[in-house]
Amino acid sequence: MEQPIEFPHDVHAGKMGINCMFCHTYARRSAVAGIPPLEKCIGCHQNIDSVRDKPRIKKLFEYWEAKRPIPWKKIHDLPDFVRFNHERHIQRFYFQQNQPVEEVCALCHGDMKSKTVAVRVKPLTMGWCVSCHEQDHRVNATSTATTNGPNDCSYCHK
Amino acid sequence: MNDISRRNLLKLLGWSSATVALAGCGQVPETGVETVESYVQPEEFVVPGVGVYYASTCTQCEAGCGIKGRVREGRVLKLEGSPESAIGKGKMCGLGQAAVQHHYNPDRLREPLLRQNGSLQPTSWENAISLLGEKTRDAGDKFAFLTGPLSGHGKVLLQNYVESLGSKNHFVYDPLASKVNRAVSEKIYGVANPRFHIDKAQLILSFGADFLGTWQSPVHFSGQYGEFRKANEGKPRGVLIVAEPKMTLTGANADRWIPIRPGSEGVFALGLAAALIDEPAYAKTVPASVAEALRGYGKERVFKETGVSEEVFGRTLALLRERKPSLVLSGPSAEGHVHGAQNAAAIMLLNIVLGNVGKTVTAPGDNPFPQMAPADAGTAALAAFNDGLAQGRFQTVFVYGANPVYSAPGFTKLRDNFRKAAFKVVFTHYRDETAEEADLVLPLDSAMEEWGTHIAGYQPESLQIQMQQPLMEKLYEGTRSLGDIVLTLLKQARPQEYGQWPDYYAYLKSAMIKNKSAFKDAAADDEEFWYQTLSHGVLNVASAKERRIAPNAEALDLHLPSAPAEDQAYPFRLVPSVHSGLRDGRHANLPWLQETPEPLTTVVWDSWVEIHPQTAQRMGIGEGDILEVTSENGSVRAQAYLFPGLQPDTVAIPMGQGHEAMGRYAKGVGVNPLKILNPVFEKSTGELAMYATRVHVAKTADSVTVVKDEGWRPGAVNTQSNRKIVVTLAADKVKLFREE
Repeated sequence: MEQPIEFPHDVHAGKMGINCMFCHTYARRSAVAGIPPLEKCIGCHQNIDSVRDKPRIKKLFEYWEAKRPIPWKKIHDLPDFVRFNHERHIQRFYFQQNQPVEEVCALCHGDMKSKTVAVRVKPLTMGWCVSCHEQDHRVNATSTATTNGPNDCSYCHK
Repeated sequence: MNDISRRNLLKLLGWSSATVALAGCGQVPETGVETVESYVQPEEFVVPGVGVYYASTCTQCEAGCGIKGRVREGRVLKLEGSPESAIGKGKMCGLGQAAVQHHYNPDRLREPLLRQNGSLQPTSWENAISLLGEKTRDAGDKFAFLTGPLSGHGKVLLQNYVESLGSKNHFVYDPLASKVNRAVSEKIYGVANPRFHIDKAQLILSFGADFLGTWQSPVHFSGQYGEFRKANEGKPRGVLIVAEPKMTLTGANADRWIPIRPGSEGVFALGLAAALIDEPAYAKTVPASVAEALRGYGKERVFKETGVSEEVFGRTLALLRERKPSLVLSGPSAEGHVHGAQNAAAIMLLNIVLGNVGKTVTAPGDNPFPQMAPADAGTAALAAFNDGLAQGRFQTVFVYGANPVYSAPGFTKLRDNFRKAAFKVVFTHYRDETAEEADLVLPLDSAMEEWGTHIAGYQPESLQIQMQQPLMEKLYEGTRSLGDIVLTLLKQARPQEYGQWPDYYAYLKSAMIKNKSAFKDAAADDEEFWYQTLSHGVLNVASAKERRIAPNAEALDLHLPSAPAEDQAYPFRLVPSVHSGLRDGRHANLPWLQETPEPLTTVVWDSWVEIHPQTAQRMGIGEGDILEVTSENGSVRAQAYLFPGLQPDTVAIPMGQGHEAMGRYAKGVGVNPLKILNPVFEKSTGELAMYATRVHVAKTADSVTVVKDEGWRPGAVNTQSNRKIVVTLAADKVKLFREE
């Protein structure tokens, strides 16, 4: 899928090792992850002169100067009758179980360290969601007690 | 087979059908179909997916409840009541909820339209503003401005503008406003909008005041009504009696509903007053002149003229004696007659006789900003506007917040008269009937895009000024707020006075800051105060003095006319009832309100004629038969709906439908009963007597199926597929009253 800017996840998350949540800051706070605000990109890149003349960065600054949002194409979408909650998943797997953040995000988004722009690699169908929710996992990093994801219809279909 | 239990079989079936469903539907949206735009520079508190609430004021009716609008990703999604509003107290009604459909309405105008070669063509704002300046320059008294109800800074600016043109012709028109009520209240209580303490009353006697549905401040009264119906602290559960020709929502909630003959409400009230003052406990409550006048209202006259039975009269009287304090309310169905003011006076007199004044009827606090108080709206203003048009006195005419071509009765010939004016400007959101006749149509911002201040006519506590602020960015570039347009025009007329403000927002902000000292808990810092104002949405006036009402029964005209003779040609009285959602037709283009079943009939998306089942049986009319309702001034055709909540000589048609324009949802739905009203006016105020039209009803050959929610089988009224919803007991089988 061609995006307005071919954002290199491989450079940011892979080569530079930046935590996913540094840019995707809303994912742990809200049901929707949102797209990082343009301000976020500029905050760093105004101080990175080495790549300032690269075509992608030039394009980024064009959007910034025009104060226009970047019209990203939506890759990971769910029907309106499904309510997926990013916050719950990150709380459980990252903050409680202490799993590496790139693995937590990869559960649904695939390995972003090896890609430029996002590609849908998981089916995101209900059966696929349920296949995970049926498995037991540890409650948190230290406990031996296990639980599984909720299987009530109303958790996702509100 | 026996090995498989029923439970396991269902499990098997369930799993296989789920698999089919998953395989069958590609439910995950395709990638790249939608875009997802990020913020450029968001506020720190903004998190996508998490709503932020902004305080504002609901403008769906004149009650003025405070609201908080939920905004997410820059879009307003839903409105909630604001707990800081003394009127709504955190609650809202369905009418208010539907306000977002005005904002997102697909039929909203997006650019100014100018009449060229007979049709409305797009034009620019620059052109429109220069045209306004040119046409009003020397207009003077040839200029007239008809507006809907107004209050706050918008009203002040608009009146200053009319004045700056050298014109006195500002008409404030509201088809549903009860000017009669305000005039009589002023006379008797000394205040036009007294406060009513429904929660403190032990008995309410309402003459058509639909305080739970459409009267004055329904959300506030509904809250009080909850308290009224609770038995606590020695107060028994309140008893509600409603006397009206057509059952309103309040009537439907009453313990006793009295189908009174239209226009005879005053006689009933005075009959009760006369019976009360015969007793020593009440003899001294009224002056001798009033006592003398009451002699003419003996029981025989009451029974004969009102249609109220001796038993009902006696029971009402017994309850009035027993339950104190009580509250007696006068509503539109009592006031919409030639002698409407006398009816209202007779009804309000009961409050004096019963000693309710000062207990359940009190004075509101003083308003330190009288110029911002709501304009005195009514229907007499329409008549004055129409006369000026008919005589050719008005050449440049502006209309805002009203749709007179739709709502004016047919006899006024307003459409023809409106055409006589040389230059007609309509400020509106839609191409409604009036806009279709205009020379220049100016599209306005929605209520969720503009700034404003409001003061509600009914103030339950100390005076509150309400702020209206945009809940989101404007949807369309080509719309403007009325405040901005008027300020632009005022800047042209009085540059020295108004040149300092770049826009209406700046004007409003500086005006509020200037008057800061009048408000409770105002911050010392100006910016802090403004921030406070917007985050709370309401400003409490600090020094609102409480006044005492000194009731005045002396000046009342209590000589009510006897019941008019029957008219053979027009045997029925027409009640143009107020539809809870559509009101005077201004909300007919909101699908949510069209499809909300009308509370008493459950009919949707249409008009209907309510007729009493006994009358219908006599005339051979069944539900869905198309009836032709004819007055001396026209006729309308609509489906019959058999409704027992009517005085049998009355037919009712709800207002609000019958639009010829105003977009896809309103146009061509139902009929407009206002069109067939007779030219009858209340004699002391000149208001249109809305309930005084006589009609003839004829059955036509056509018949339709009434689209409604309640029992759909023929004759299945109040049942669901012929099963009773709730088991009921006839009223005469219940002992409601203590045996004497």
